[in-house]
Amino acid sequence: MISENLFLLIPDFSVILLAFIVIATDLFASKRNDFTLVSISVGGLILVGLYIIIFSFNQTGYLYQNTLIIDQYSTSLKLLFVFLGIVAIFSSKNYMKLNLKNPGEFYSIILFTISGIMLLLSSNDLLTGFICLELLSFGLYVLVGFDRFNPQSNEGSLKYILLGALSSAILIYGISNIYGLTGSTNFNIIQTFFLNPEKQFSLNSAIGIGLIIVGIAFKVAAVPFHMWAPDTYEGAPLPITAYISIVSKLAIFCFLLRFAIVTGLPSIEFWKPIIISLSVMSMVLGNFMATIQSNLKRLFAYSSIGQTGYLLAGVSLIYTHDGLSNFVFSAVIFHLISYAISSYTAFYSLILINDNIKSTKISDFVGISTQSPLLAMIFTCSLFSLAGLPIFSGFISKFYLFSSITQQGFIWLASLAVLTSLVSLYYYLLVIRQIYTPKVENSTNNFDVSVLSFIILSILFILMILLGIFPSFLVDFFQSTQFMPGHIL
Amino acid sequence: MLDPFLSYSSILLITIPATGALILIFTPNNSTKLINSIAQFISFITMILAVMSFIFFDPENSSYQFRQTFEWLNVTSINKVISLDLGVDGISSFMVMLTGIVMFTGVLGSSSITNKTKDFFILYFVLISGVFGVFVSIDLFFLFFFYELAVVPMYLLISVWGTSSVFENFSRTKDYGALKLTLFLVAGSVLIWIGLLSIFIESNATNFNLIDIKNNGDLSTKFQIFIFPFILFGFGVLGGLWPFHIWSPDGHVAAPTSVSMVHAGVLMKLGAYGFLKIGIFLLPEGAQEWMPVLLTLGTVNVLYGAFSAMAQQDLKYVIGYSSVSHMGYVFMGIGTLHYLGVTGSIMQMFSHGIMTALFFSTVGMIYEKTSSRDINALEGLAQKMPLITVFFVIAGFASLGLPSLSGFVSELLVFLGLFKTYPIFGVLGVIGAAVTAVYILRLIAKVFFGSFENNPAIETSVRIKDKISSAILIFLVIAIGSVPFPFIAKIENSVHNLLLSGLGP
Repeated sequence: MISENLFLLIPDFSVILLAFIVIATDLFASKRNDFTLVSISVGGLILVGLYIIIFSFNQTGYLYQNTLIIDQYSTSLKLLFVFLGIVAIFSSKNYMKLNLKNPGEFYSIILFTISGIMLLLSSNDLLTGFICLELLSFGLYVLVGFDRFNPQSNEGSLKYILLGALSSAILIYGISNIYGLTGSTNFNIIQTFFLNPEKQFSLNSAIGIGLIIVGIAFKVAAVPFHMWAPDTYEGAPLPITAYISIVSKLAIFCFLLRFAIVTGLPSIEFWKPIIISLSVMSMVLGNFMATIQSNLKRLFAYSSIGQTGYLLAGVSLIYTHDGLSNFVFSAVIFHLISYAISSYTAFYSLILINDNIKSTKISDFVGISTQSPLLAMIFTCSLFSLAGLPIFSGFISKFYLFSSITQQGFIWLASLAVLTSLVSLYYYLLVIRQIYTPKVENSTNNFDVSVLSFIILSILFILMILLGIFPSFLVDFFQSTQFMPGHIL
Repeated sequence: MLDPFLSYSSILLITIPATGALILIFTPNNSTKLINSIAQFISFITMILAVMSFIFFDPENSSYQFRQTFEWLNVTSINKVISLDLGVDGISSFMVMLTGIVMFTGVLGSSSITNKTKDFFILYFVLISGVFGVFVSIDLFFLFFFYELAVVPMYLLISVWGTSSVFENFSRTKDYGALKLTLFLVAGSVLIWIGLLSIFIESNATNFNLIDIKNNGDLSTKFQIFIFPFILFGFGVLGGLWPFHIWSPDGHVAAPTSVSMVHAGVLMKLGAYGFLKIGIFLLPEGAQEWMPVLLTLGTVNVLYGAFSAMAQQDLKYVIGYSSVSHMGYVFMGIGTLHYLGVTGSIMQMFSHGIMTALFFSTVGMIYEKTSSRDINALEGLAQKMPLITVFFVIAGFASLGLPSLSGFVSELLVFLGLFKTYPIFGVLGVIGAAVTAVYILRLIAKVFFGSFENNPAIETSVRIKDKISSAILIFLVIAIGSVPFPFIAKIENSVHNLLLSGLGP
């Protein structure tokens, strides 16, 4: 047993502390002060990020009897999610001010969910993972329903809570099955248990793993467990829609990856068919349903279901007959990051557009290119990136992911993925067409976009292009052994 | 003195237009004059560079020249490297020159763009940078990267600056044309993507470039035959191969003049080029198997395109369909897998590029002056616009293959190749040429000759820019037609190289 070095958890605990500071500040402030709250949360998160970069990047170890693990996988992804958290808070700032009450609670709940994510990334145990997942989900239930007097928001929140609770129940039932079988919920012990080939095929283990997969499929909105997603996305306040579809989904994916890799379960026969069928259904249904949407929130809900499909295709093939495939693993992580950046660029632009035109209907997007050419350009580019066109990150990450799938001998799956990308280009083009259609009536009022939002958006945009042109910096890191989950320096 | 400069020409050809786009982003929105001059300056430099890289290409040396390699992405787990590997051989340097010239004349022809000029040129330069990228890339990943890059801006270029085509019983909006074009091209690139992914994984070579895969890839015959149709139809879509050509007339008609020039003149050649480089060079055994299909479809292209052109009412649609028909000769020439035929098809790629650019720029001028492209409404333009008539007639004669103009040389070579290998297709090809003559001559007679009645107060002077661009194009049409041998000498070795490995008679 490695000695318990609690200093390893400083970043995680500081985010929790930060959340309390934010809520206390709000409590003691005499009047509503969005700016202070945002600066405290963002400043705190930046400090946490700097701390991770400077002090804790090379520190690794196990904590609390192996239930938590701090390795480079968790540390570097924590950095990513801290960054995404900063973007999320900035993106909510204006929306919050214009539309919602109680900013203190809002930002502190976001910080709580981030701390949940950070612990989730370190979880090396099913039960710890489950608790962190709940910490994340509970925050999200509140955030989705934050627009209290809007029935749509309430409906979305209610659906999300009910189905979220159901999925949690399924997940915990699966975990209990695995516990009954292996006597532990720890990933390493599960791994040693399933290394024994005789024990792989019992009905119990199939039910246990199957239920865990279903529970996680619910949480990441993979078809056929996606029913809650479009309504929840539509009802939620726009910045929260972005937050659910990007941050929370990707965090769960990172947890799934660690679970898959450390336990070695994907080497079991029935892993591949289950996940591949989820992936195929998500790719096809997500992308085709998106073509008939008239509201961008719903469109993005379906397109993000499609993206889930691509990621799941990678997850399904992560183990080959000769062990873990580094190629697929790095491809999934790279696509995940590229998706996060491109998708946040798209959502951020959408939020800024929504601040001005107060609508997310595609038909209301006419003439945006004349009102704010730069915003229209960035939005268009991010859609191109999501569809997988160069020079943006979406192209190279898709190429890399699909070639890793091909390399595993699943050329049909890669072909299907490429084909559904074509469908996604179609519905993105329909949006772009609206943007670039000149407006009939002559309203030349320009968009009001704050400098700060613009800077954040430009950073995302530049990142999107840089990842597309110089991916080797990240990809090399993801391929190195020190990035593997469970690798202790 | 030129050597160090020229050895970077392949990368400069990509970066100069890209830099142009970047400079334009930071240019003030409203100074149209400044934007125009920057665009002309950048494109002029690019053209000079492109022409020089053709002139200084050493025909004796059949390997890739002006080569630059930068390692880009190392996939350690399967031990493969993707690098930015640039260089030109005879065929690509010929295409590079074509691109350089057409893009410069395109910029000269865009003076009619007055709305959002800046955005137009930014997208235009991105497009051009992509096209150059395809021609100078040796690495297949980057070939595909630039290929997609060239497709992306087309949608906006057409849907924002294009024109809709409206007639009594026929109307096509520019949105329709743009969407159709983009979706078709991306659908084609889906096929290419699948093909390239398989080659990437299947080949045993460490690098993903043409040469390494050819030498060390060990692609089995069965694999080649299986994957060839993906490459054939994938690139065929952009090349305008029947029946995947249907995006092409609609797209070309909807596009603004300069984009039509670049698209029909150069972009369609990307299809044929990719097909030569990947299909014929990397998958020779698959090519052998699938050539009859290409020949047949190419023949349909020629005849179907020619007959469709005859039936059109819109002047631009005639040119659009004639492009489809002429690309057919390119496919037929490649389909012979014979030295003469392939040389002919490469000459045809160049000749058609120049000729179509001239056609589209002339039609653009006519439309600008008369605001009409309706063949039934236009009459006797020769009286009012003698110069434009001369341009159009030269393009027309080149298109129907009049000796001493460029079309003749290339079509002759294609026919010679066909008669050596598949005489029956040769006969059909010649019939196609005859049909071309019919519709071109009828068109000229109808539109330019006869009496001029409507709107006598029409503005008929030709801009100096348009004169320059037409002069360049006409000069090349005549030069290639009269002295084709220096051009053929440049590509000769590369064609031999392409057809190596026991292919062809």
